[in-house]
Amino acid sequence: MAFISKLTRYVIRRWHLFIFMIICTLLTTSINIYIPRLGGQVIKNILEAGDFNALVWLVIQIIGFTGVLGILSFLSRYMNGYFSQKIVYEIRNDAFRSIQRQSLAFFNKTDTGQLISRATTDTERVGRFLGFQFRMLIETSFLLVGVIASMVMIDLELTCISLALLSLILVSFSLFGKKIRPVISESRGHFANLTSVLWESISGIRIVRAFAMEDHEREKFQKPNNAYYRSMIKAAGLRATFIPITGLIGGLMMVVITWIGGLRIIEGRMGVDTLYVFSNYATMLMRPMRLIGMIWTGYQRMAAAGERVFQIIEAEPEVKDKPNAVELKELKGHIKFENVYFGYDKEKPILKNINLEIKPGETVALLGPTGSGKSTIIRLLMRFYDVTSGRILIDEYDIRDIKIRSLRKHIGIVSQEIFLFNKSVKENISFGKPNASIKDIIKAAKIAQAHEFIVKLPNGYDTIIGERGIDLSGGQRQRIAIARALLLDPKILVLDDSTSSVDVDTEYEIQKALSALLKNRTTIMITQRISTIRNADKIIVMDNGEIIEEGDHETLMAKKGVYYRLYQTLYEAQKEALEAVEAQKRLEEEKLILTRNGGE
Amino acid sequence: MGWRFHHRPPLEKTAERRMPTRVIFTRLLKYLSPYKGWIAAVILSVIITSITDIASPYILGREIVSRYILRGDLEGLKTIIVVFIGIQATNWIANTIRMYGLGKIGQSLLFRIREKVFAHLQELSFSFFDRSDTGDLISRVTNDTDAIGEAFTSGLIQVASDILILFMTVAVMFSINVQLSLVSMIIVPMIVAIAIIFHSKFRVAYQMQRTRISNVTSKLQETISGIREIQSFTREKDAMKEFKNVNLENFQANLRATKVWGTFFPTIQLMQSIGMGIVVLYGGWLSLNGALGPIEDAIGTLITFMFYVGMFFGPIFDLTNFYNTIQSALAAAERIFEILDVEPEIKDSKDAVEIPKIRGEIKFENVTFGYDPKRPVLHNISFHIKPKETVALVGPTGAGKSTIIKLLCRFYDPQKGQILIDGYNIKKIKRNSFRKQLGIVLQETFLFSGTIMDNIRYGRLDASDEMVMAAAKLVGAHEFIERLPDGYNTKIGEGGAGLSVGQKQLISFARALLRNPAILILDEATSSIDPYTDLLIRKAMKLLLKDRTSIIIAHRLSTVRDADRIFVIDDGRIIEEGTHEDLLRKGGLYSRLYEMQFREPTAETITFSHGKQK
Repeated sequence: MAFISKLTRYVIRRWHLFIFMIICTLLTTSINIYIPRLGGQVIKNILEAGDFNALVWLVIQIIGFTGVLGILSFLSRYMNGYFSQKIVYEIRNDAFRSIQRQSLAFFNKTDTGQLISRATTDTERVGRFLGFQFRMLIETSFLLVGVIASMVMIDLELTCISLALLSLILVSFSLFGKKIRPVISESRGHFANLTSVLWESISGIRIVRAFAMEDHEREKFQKPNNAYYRSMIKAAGLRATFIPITGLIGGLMMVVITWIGGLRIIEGRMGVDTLYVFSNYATMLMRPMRLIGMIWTGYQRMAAAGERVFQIIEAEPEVKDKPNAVELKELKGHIKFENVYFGYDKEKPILKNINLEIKPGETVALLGPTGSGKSTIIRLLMRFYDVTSGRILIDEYDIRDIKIRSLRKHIGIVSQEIFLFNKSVKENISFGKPNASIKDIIKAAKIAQAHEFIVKLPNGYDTIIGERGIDLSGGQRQRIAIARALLLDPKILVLDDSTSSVDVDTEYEIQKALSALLKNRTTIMITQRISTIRNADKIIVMDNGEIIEEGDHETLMAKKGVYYRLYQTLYEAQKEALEAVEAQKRLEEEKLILTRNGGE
Repeated sequence: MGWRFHHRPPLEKTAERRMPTRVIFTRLLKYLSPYKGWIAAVILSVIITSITDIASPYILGREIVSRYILRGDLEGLKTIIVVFIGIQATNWIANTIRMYGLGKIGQSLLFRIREKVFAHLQELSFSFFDRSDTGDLISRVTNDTDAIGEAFTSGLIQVASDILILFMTVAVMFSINVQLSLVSMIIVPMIVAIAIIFHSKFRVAYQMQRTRISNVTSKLQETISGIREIQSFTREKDAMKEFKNVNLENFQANLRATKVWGTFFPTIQLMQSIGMGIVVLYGGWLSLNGALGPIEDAIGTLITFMFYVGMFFGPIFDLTNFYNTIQSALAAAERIFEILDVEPEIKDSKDAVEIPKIRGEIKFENVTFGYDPKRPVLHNISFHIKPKETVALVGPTGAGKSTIIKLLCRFYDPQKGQILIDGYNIKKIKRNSFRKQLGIVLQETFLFSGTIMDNIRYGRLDASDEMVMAAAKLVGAHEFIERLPDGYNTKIGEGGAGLSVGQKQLISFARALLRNPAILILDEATSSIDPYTDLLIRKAMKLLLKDRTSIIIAHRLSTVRDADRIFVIDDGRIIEEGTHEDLLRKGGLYSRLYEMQFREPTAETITFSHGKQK
């Protein structure tokens, strides 16, 4: 199994603990084998009506050895616990690291519940194997060797008979393993489904409620719950069939030993004490035989779980640094798309032959219907995905030749869907620049029009927001996200429909502040507000993955194309309003004059 | 106030157990009642295995060794061996039944608990979810139910059978030799003392383990949800550091449990050895003095006793061993019961009636509400919406617009005042009979994993494909859906990954329309839809709004101009009301907002201290 070698790498890293554990186990096994001999001597002593003082000495030895055994077995358990848990810790860290490296395509394909279950439950299962079954495996193999050797020294024939019976246990277990393995992996699959349904139902609880679909959800949950139940019952059935057989075989072995041993004693070829020691050893073998079963099932479970965990750890991110990728220190902010094609599915391009140049300091507005590829352009620029063909240049560097982290460091983004962390407002704003001073944080918040509401929060900038903190409205979240991007003081600023949930009043203020900020940086914005669009240095109108018009407001208006028609329609809608506002203003002025006159 | 206070998390996260063990036990036992037949079978098989387990050492020592082997009785040996085989076979059959029965009962218990918790979650109020951490909830339903596992049922049965074996062993021992039995009992108080000492240690250690793993899950969840932000802002290293911390805490909790367990095991083993030593010494003394009868009988008795003393420790060891699993099972059970114990704040009252087909009259009478009752978000709101009227709610962020809608949908109950639908008090009608006639498009769109077709059909499960497509066409979603790789059968990921926000909004719009609702609520439904599509929809909307009562929240005032009436809301109060023209003429907040939207931003120079100063 390929993953065993992967797991071994983790074990080898803790080799000193491992060696120490083996030494402890070796010693405990020896003591365990020695103690029954002392027991045999006790019986012999009593049977031959020997010396009571010798008996006392034997008992003292037994207790003393048990004490030493206790200390050693504590050490071996502790070492093993430390080492298995440390491996769980490391594997889980590695899984987390790998999850973080993945490109967005990975998260679109994999659901969160599955990922979480792999990084928690499955990893735990690997740990449980190392911490229990694996320790048992070592103990068992030492015990088997030691005990069998001791048995052979007592009586070869009886040993062979006992071992023949014991081997039946192994046969039944290998059969058991073969049968239970598919059932176990099936059940894990059902369990993961169950988790995803649960996850979705809780995340979407508002929609479930709003549509009164509680019964439908309950039915949806029934399916994986039922399937999981059935596969677990199947596993229980297999266990109940195979495991008690070991008990039966063990019992029969005792019967045979007693029968043959009894005959030998009657014939005078063996002492009762020897039979006692021998049957003690045979019993000691029973435990390993049973354990081999447990180890086997544990291994089966671990194997399935481990494979799933390593699938994550070894998932290659689709987007990654080239070995000789350069660090981008300074940036002018020159962006160029050259014949860029892209599709999540290569057969179906979402962007077709995009050619685009944005000069440093320019503000570009992207315009076009839903699904025309505006957000995709931004995702490609951020290198969340790599282009299918063509290339994207920043300051004449192909972005695939730049270290991803250094590229992203220069881009401040406010995305459509804002995620805030379960941290304080301060930490959320300084998310891209953790060492920012509170002065700068407040400044960014002020520009984003967030300062005013933040200071009104119970703990101001230290208020915890997010899932376990205070809920903010969509507009408030957007403003925090804007502050977060602004604090980076990025050379390239990307605003992906970033003010859609902000009310007009606030939006106006933000726009005002932003217009100053845009001056020294390259800005790409996706927006629906015509007033913002009109001020852009360049407007790019997209449809169906292609750029259909490009130019500034005046040029595009003169062209009388798609932009012109769109602008006309929107302008019509606005004209009425603007006139009304004008009328309103006049009215206000008149009133003002009236009151002023009245007052004098 | 636009935020809600999570003043009291509904579910505790501390390691201490608050529910008495007995309560958890009895509650779990209630779930077992449908399996009485299996339980009886299991109990019977446990009794049989216990008897056979105890009989074996007796037969081995007192019968086989003393009476036949040491005395050379071959015929007797043959007979007793056959009996011995019979005992082994009986033991085997009983064991098989016991194991299967336990699996069956245990899994059925889990199945029912999961089903019940899920159903209960569907009942709980929004305020519960506002205050709960999703990762923690999931972990309770999955990891915790799994932890109850068969541990509870088999643990329980094991305890019963151990106690049975213990008593039977003691009885048999006394029947053989009273003095020797009494001496063997000396170590019992010591074992009890050890068990008590370890009791609380186990408890704390296991509780801690469960809490810590749930923290790991939450952190994972947060990272995956925020992966775009983490990658955009290149914070991978810090996220890693935070994760390592919770992971390390989990490691430490596990290590602590290992330590407790690792000390306990050898201590018990030592006790066993001391007990054995006492029996051997005293038994040897008695035997040497001839107090155990002829030497053949004495040896048999001693062998039997040595076996029994071993068996005696077996159950005690098991008891504490299973005590651990039961402890963690109980801890897990408690965490699940905590969810089940949360009473839904909003439920159908007993006299609730099914509301007939709604005409669509909505009345708010002096409604006051706050997510935290101490901080009202809505102050004494009253209004009346006539059937088929279209009303737009306008106002700054956090004014209380969405809250009005949430109250109307009865996601929350107002603290004061009442809401009437067609003259029915909303609290007196069955929630689902009412919500079935609502069509809602919420600000935060949520799509389920599955096809686009499934998602639109979520509004009305019995709708035909044609109806789904018709709804999509009506809202202007048809075109982009057709362009997707598999059209309507395109699978969308969790939360609708792969679609833009605008596309998701269109789909949820279609989903609401498919229901043909009596009341349609659009909460910022078109905020992220591009102007093209917006124009397209607006035409369709006019038709759609005509036949039903509609409430629209929109920041874009162009969307609300056509409403029959506009309510301007500020700081939880309706401050203006009227048609677009009325309100503009009035010259209040509305006209100011309206003007603002079309005003050009003017430039001012603002720079950061770390930027270049001007």
